[in-house]
Amino acid sequence: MSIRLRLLLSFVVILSLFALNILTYYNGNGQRITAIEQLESANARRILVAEIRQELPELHRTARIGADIGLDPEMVATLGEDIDALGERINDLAAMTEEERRGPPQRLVNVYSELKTQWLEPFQPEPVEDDSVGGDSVGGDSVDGDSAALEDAEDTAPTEDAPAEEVPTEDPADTPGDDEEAIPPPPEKSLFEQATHLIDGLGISERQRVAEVSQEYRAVEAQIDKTTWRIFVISIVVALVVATLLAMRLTRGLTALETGARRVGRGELKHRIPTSGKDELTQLAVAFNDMSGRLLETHQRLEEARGLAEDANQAKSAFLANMSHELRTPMNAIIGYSEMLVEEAEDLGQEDFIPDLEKILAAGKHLLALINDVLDLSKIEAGKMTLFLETFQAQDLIDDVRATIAPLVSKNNNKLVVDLDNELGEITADETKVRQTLFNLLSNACKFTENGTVTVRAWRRKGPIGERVVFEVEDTGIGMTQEQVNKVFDEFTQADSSTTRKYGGTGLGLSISKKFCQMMGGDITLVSEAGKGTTFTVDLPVSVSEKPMPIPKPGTQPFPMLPGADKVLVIDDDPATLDLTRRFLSKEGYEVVTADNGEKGLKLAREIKPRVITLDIMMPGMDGWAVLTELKKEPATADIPVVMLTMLDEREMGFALGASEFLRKPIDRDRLAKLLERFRGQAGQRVLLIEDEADTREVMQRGLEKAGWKISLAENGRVGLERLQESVPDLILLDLMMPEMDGFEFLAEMRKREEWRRIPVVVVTAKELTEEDRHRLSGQVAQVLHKDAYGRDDLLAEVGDLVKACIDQDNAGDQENGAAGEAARGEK
Amino acid sequence: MAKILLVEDNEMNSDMLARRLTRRGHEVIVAPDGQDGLDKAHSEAPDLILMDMSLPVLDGWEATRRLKADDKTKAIPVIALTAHAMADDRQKALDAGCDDYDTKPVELKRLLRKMGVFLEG
Repeated sequence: MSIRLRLLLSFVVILSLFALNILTYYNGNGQRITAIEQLESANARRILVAEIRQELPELHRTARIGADIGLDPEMVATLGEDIDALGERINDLAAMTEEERRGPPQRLVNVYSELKTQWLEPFQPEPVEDDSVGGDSVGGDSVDGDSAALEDAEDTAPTEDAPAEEVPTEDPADTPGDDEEAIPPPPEKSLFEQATHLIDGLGISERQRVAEVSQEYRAVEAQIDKTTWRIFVISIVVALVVATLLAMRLTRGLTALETGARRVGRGELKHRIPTSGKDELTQLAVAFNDMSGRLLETHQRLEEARGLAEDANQAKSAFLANMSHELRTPMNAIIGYSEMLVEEAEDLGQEDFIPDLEKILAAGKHLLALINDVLDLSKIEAGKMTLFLETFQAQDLIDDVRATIAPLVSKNNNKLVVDLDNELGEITADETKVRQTLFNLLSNACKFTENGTVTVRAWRRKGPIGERVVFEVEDTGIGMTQEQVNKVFDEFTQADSSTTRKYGGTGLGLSISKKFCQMMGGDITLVSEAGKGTTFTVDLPVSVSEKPMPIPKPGTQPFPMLPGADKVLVIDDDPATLDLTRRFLSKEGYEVVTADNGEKGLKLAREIKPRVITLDIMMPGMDGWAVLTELKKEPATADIPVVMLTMLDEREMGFALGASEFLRKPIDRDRLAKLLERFRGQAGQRVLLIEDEADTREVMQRGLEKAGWKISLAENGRVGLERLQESVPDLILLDLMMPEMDGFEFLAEMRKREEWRRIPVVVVTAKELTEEDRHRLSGQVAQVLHKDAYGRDDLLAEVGDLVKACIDQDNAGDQENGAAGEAARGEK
Repeated sequence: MAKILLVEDNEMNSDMLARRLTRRGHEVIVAPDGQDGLDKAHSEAPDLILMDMSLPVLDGWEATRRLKADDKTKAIPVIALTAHAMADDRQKALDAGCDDYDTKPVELKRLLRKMGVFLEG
């Protein structure tokens, strides 16, 4: 049954119940109205009876007295009217009484009409009276004198005994009447008594009737109530049952649909929703099943197609691999015999043949290289390329490649520079593949560079997932445009198809090399600028894992970033510094992005959202301070910690920003004293302390005075400058964070005056740097640096440390640092 | 200079390599399959064996295993000649007991260098 039909039926059922309710109501109402009418009528009759009972004796008395004393005609008329009025009422009473109970009132009517005649008799003229009496009474045969009028009435009474006789049967009150009959009562009295007796009887019967009718009314009322309640309860029960049945049916259908949809959604395409019945939900389920069926079919077809495509691809790869293998056997013969012929020609002195034989040999070797590359590629694609891991000295490998590549380097009049980290050590990788990769990159570099330099660098770095080794091959050759860079790792595409003609090569080398590196869990990336040169970077794990890494699908990112590395943005105008910082930080395991001016830096900061920015202060155009201001203005970049640094050349170093040492807050007095001892020799006794915090100022002042220094104080940079004007101190202790004019501004101002430039400045900073940190730092410095303690590598180590600290503390607030002639600072 | 047993089924390859080695003063004995190689290793007692791996009758790995299992021949150095970039083959060759390997196509200078290690030592 359809849901529509079911709903309709339920509606009809409920509607019928409603109609039944209404019917019951109307029916009950009719009964109630009838009962009320009866009640009203009984009540009215009771009142009438009461009135009649009251008026009857009065009239009787009036008539008797009137008869005795005689009445004037006017009064007789009034009496007549009153008697008629009472008669009317008695008639009304009879009319109002229900037919089946009309006997007694009717009798009353009759008695009353006789009584009326009796009452009026004395006041009427004789003949008229006779006529009227004779006319009125059926058996009025006794015609006596006027005075005996009342006695006459008595006479008529027995003649009209018939109705009176009935009374005793009806009313037990009549029994004494029988006794009275024994003593013949006056007939007039008897008529009146009959009437009184009747009216009394009526009064009782009407009272009974009222009680009876009210009881009936209550019974009817109760009956109606009961019926209404029953129907109401039945309606509710039926409605509930119908609703529950409907809801259950709907819910069952919907639940089945929902479960089905969910399962099919999860990929259980074979799942079918059970269908029973013919309702709309079932139809929906059938449609849904139909859809799942089609989906399954399509899915299977796609699977088949995919299987076929995979098979085809496998077949292609297998074919290529076989083909390559088959091709190689004759190739070996060609190359081998050519070589042999060259040797024999030499032995036999047939020098003329040698150039031609060598051409055959070269062509053969090229063809073999192509075949080998195709084999490699097809193997990689078929997933059949395996890694053969060996542990070897990276240095040896590079030396080996260097020796092999030497002829190619000199061919284009290039120079090969090898710059290796002393601690390259052993690496575990597929040596042949690493060698092939490096050879490839180097031969490319040599091919595309003339009269230039090819540089090989290698170093270790800490990556987010372990130690890595980086090989960098840089050339000063023709370079590539961005478009060419994007295609350079694609198979069979060199930067330009014309390059193949000019430079030779299979066009597969880079693609294979990249895939080799990816298999080993590394990658090759490049940076290139048309006309200036190209730098390829090979990044490999120091220890390659046994299981080859899946090769990522092409077309994602031209420069895949190492996952999880913290990005550091380096903004500096000096290319040398930029390069140095970049290499240093990347060695430390950071991903470094560089910008050579402030505008570019800002743009990059917004785009890449680095973890830390290092920012050169002195740059042409937009300087470090301006960049910093912009960075802090924007909510997107405001939270990135900035390490500010400036590098000054040797000549400027002594006096420019002029920070000679740094101290961390809170100040350790002993350390302060010790530090200051270092300056005592070269400086005199006067110290200018510029510090905004009163407590720190006091602590330092005491410590210094104890050590025998003369102190002048300033609470900010501006006051500090005023103090300088007054007298030039031998040493300045400078807080960096101050209101009004901060330490940096102060240094910048101070730098402008020739006579102030050479004052040593000790920067006091808020960041705590432990002795251990300093130890580690200086240890590292010894390894990295060759220059004196004021060299810029010192700063690099310092910067590295700061960058690390910034990241460790996750956007920690203040990082301030001024070291050895350079100042570095982290902004809030 | 030295007596070398070349086990190689491909006629051209073996001819080529034999002639080039002969030119450099070596005495070369050729065997076209693994079984023949084993026999000649016993009868000729060469100074060094160059062993192709994919051979008829008895393959190079099995032949090497037998050579190395025999007291009479186990001292003879065996250099496996494996196909290009077949890392599996190389590892299998070393596992079978080969003393070194070189890839085919043979690059004569490199092969001579590798042979030199065993012949001089």
